[in-house]
Amino acid sequence: MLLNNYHLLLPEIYLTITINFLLFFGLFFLKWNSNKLENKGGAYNLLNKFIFLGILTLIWTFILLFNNHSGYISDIFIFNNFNNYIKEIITISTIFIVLISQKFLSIYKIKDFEYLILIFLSLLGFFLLVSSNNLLIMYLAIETISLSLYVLAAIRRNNTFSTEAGLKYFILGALSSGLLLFGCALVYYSTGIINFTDLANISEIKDNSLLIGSIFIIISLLFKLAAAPFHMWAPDVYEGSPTIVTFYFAIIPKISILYILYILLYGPFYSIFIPNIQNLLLLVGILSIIIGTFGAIYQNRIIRLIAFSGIAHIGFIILGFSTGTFISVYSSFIYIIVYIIMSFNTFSFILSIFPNKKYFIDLLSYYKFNPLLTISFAFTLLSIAGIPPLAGFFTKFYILFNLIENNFYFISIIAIILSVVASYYYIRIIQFMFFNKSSLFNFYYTVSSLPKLGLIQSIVLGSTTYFILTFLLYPKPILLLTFDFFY
Amino acid sequence: MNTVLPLFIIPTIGFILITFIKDVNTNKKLGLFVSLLTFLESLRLWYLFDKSTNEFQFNYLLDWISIGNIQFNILFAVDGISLIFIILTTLLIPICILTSYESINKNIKLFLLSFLGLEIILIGVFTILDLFGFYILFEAILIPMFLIIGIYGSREQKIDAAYYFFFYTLIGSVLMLIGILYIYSISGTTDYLNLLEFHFDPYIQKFLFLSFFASLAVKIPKFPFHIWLPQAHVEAPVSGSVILAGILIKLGGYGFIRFTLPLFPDASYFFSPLVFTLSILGVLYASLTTIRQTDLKRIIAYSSVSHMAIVTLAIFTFTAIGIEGSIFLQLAHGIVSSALFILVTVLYDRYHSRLVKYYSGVVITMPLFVSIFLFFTLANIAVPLSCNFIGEFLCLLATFQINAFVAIFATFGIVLSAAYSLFLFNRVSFGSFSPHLSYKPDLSKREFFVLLPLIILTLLFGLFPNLVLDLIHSSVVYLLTYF
Repeated sequence: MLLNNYHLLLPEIYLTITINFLLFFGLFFLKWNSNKLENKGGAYNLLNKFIFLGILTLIWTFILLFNNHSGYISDIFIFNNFNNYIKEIITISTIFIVLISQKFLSIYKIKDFEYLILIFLSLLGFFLLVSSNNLLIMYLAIETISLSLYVLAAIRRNNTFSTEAGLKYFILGALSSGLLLFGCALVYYSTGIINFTDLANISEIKDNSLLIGSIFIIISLLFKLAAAPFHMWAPDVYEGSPTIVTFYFAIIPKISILYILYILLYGPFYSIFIPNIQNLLLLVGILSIIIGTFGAIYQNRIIRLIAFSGIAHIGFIILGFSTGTFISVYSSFIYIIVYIIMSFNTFSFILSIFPNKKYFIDLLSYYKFNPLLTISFAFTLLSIAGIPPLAGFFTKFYILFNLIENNFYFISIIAIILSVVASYYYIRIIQFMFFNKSSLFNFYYTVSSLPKLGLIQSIVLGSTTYFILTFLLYPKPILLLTFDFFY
Repeated sequence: MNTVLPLFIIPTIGFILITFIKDVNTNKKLGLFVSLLTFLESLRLWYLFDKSTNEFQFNYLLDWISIGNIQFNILFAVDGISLIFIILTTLLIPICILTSYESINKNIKLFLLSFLGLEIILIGVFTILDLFGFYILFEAILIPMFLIIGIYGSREQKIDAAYYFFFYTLIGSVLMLIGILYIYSISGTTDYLNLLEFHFDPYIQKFLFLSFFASLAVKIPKFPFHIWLPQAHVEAPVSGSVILAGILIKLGGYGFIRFTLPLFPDASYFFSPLVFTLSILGVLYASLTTIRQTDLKRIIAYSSVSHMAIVTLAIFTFTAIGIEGSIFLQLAHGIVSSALFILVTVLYDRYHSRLVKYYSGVVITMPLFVSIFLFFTLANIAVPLSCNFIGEFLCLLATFQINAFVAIFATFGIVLSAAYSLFLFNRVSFGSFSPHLSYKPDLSKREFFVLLPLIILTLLFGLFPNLVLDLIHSSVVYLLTYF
């Protein structure tokens, strides 16, 4: 019965087997060898080989994903083009994140091969999450993801900030998981159903427990997205965990959780969407933009700024979800794809100037040292701020357009005014990089630690900058990416 | 080949070449060559332009987005009005590059790239016939201009100036974006030619007008929103000031003529008393403020504010004479104030001060400079035979027909402009030779040849205004049919 359509699960099965294999390989081969080679600096060498193996696995998973079919497994998993496509995005992003991060493992003193295993485990969780068609499977997948991410945040065991980040994430995440499970229980209590397809077809609502349960579920998903007022963990966790892990946090969870949020809102909970959930989403969206914007103004550290700007971006995306039309959800998905591409550029840049720089002031007159890199980052910042000819503008414009189409004038005016306020702190970084003169001390400090960009990093930086600059000239490819799923 | 496309392609090729060439001198020559080539191309369009019709010419249709049932095509074309502004743009860009040919000696590549990028964007703004595209290009100017003010400005306050410029413009334009989005949601198109046939409800027009006014009034700059302009002018390098005074503030006037008047005629008429009041206040306030300024560049910047107030005054008379006069005055002001900025920078390059009190008796060492300075000072006052005279005369004539009271107040502005211009000229040029100054050579060959085309054009348009008026007449009359 369960093995009816087992071939649909092929990527997941492959990933599971490989994780086990890699775990054994790491435990019995890598640990033993690295203990022997510790004094010769060979541990990173071996780890690099291990990561090479991991990347091969990811590429093979990616190839398996292309062999997609639509269908169900019992009633707990659903496979269609859209979630397959989300999985492809997740996989390709993970490949690039791991490739870029590889160079920085030694800088962050991450010697443990578990780093890769944990990423793979969370990846498996994301795969199961986007395919889930059942509240319990969704809960289990989210737990798989969360447990891996808690440990990833605390992967630098010797670092106080990293352990603090892990603990903070764990405590707050456990609370939200509790809410999620409670919400699932309430939905089950009200309807006796945990299957998404059946929940979507439910006609009459007996009592409020379905509503309360669905709100609990949505809140816990919003917590994972770091949308205000459930954002408290984000800046600390982003800053505390090593930047290569933050890179992963900022990109992969967002798109998959947004996908499952879309599935829930426009499937099982659509019957209660308009009167009840819409107001919640509007409130969360506008609050996220406000808190993201005003929280970021006072920051002096880049990662915290990125965290707060991520909150503001999630606010825009949630506003796109809140209108209740498919075209506006479509604009939200365009937004998240462009956001991912911009995040790649941002984090590649931040990684390249790390580890000894984390304040804006360290970027003082950086233009003199590496003009091309600085210009590319400046364009990315302007794009994130939403200045017109760049990619970030188009996505913001599209969300606002959908808000106005659905007569949310007041909210769209607030959102756009706040985006002007938000552009202040991006502009401030550009000011530090281009306009201010550096002191002599700062000059030597910068010169002594100029980055050497790797090949992959350069390719990612170059292609994303190219994308940001030319997106508006020819937006068709990106617009077509998720077009079929909404029209 | 008779489309506007070459106007975009030539600077783009130059932009790409400069990106990849390392040698500084080659880059400078290439930048100058490319911008001159664009100027020639725009003159070719002028030659080929059919003045007898009011149609948009040299059309180029860009197939921008076409997926599913979403069709978004953007039309690029020129009529007489936009052609004048394009020629002004392509004329001033080589002049900008040439004025900074020696004074900019670091980050030259970025400088040239910003100017060529600015040129592409500006040509786009003046040719695009789509509200959404107009908005994109209108705001895209922020990026190169922000970098020009911030990187190449001379003093530490340049950062404040760049911020002022950025945020004043951004706040205004996002309100315009809301307006444009609303237009799209009720009419289903942002194509200009289709929107001309669409009649907006008068009540809605008022809100749309205010949203456009917020953006364009900041740009032009109208009296209460003008604070960013003197600041940006003072801190920007000379080429930045030239482009700012020459073209960027004309975008506001262009936007009023092109979009606000024909699209929201009822609201324009409804709000014209407000615009008149602000304009009179702007003329008087800016002129009186100019008299008490001590900074050379700030004086010219404030005089721009008062001149542009007369331009808006003429636009909101809704007569053919007024609008033609306003376009002519914008052209004239673009030429004359650019020349004045270049002249002031000639002084600054020699003595490294912009404060008026350190200058007197410059005529003793720099006679050629002083005679050209006198020429442009007189042009700024709008004496007959200068192109400013034609513009101001037409503007005031139209205003007088509509509202004599307003015209009388606006005429005070002319008198005051004579006061501050001659006062400035007198203090700088005559009197005993200032003890703060030392002997410095007169205008160099490069500086002279930068100013020469501006002198010729000032006289040419002053003597033969029909060169321009013929070009814009049928387009202006056509626009007024929608009013």
